[in-house]
Amino acid sequence: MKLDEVPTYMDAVFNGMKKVVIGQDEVIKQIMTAMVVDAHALLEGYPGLAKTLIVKTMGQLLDLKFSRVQNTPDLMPSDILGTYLIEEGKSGRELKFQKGPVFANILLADEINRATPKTQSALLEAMQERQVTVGNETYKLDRPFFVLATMNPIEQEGTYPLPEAQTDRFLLKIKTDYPSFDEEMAIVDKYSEIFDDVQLKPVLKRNDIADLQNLARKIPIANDLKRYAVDLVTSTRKKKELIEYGASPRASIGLILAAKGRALIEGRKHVSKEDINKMAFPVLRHRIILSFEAERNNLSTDDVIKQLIK
Amino acid sequence: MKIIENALAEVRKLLILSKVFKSVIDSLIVFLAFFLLFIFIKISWYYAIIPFILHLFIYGRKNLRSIRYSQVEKLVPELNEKLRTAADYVGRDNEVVDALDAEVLKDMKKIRTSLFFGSKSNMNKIMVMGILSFAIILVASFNVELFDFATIGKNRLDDERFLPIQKNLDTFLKEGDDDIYGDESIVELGNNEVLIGLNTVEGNLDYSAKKDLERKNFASGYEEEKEIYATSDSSYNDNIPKENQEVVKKYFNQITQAG
Repeated sequence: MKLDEVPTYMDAVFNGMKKVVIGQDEVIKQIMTAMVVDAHALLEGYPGLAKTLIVKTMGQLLDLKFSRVQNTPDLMPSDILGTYLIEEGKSGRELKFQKGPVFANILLADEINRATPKTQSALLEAMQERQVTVGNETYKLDRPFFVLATMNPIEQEGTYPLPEAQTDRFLLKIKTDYPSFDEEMAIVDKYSEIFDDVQLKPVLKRNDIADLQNLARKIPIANDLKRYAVDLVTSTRKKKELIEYGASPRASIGLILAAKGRALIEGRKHVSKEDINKMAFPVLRHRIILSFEAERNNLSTDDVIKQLIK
Repeated sequence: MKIIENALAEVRKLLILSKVFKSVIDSLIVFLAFFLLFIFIKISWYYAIIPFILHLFIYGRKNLRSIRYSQVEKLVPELNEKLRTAADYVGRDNEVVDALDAEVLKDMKKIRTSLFFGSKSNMNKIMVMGILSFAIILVASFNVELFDFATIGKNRLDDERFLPIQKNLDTFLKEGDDDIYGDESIVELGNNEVLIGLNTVEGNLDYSAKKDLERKNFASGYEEEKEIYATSDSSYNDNIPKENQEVVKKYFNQITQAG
């Protein structure tokens, strides 16, 4: 894929998404941003906000193998990674590795905070290493490989919140919000009347996604903007009155990568300050821990990040 | 050198020129302002060169150090964030950077010299210079002064309260110093006849040997010559050829006769 063709393909993806998903434009953009920089994303939102629909539709448009895992407390690591099964073969019984849902291109891990820490670790290790080791065998995961994990912010009973060290592995924490009134009217019109199953044709192939990922890394960023991005991340460690623990250098890398991805998606050949400011929220909100003072004043992480942005 | 590097160098040159122009204009305004002030207080206008040079050096250096491509981006919005990105990636080659360079080169055609030099602020400064120059001419021609700084200064110098040293100097000059001029009684001698007495006791001369003049006869072994003549050693003789001697002789005879 050539650089000039990127805006056309992106338009095709977003137009395809609009046929199925109404609203949530920013969520779709951020998910695409994570994909073009070959990273994973955490989706947080109340139930019924089209999180699963977005990811499933994206899988169709990008011609990627989609799989879904509903995390429950009794879910085992083998349920995600795969296991050996005894199969009757020509030469008798033999152990055959049955690949788990992780062997997909897009894995939607629903309610990841409901899985046990052991299962969470198995998934996170697969995300990090891009390979799965079962017994003595190592299996490489297919490329591209994205994990979109969802978290329900309201049901906290029986959950195992992801520790900060683990959430740090997700590039973005994307917040899904309620649609506007007009959007909800359109949703109601579309889904409460005669069901029209929209058949989507793939717009991008796997090679195209690999090209996009390659191009995203090549997007240039001016030195003063790079300094601004790093300054933004380091300021999270200095604002002690509001932030107990600031973001790590991984956040600096993530912020610049995310800004480059966003620039590519918007058809620009350079990173702008607006890209950094926009991506600061999904990059930093799961990487900072607010102080008691901030919580006492009912400040959210987004409110604090807004104060840091110049 | 790539085209983009040349183009960026040109832009940088233009930025430097505009900063130098701005610094010179600002310094000239400072010069004219001080010039006008010094006319009002009757101080020589040469002193106005000092703040001019100081301002030019300090602010000129500050302006040159603050040169950034973002200043061009403010004047040409199409280049916003692109120009400095292209400048930071000079020497690095990839398809995205090449595409950005092409875009920047296309938008750089919108850069005009008048954007740097014809700005409203420069026009206002030139107007201020004109007004100051006009004021200087008016003030100088009508000899307007607020107060005479030079005279006030001089009066301050004459005031004993302020400069006791001045008083001491004047007194010194009037009254003199015995050590320098010596004894006044000696100065008063003038053309008077001086009678000098010799102290024979303390002197080195032997006055007991003093006697009258005696006549001496210088007769012994001396014969009076009838003719006394002098000769010179042959080494003093000229080795002039004989025919030339004749010429010289004739020459001097002619001079004598002509005289």
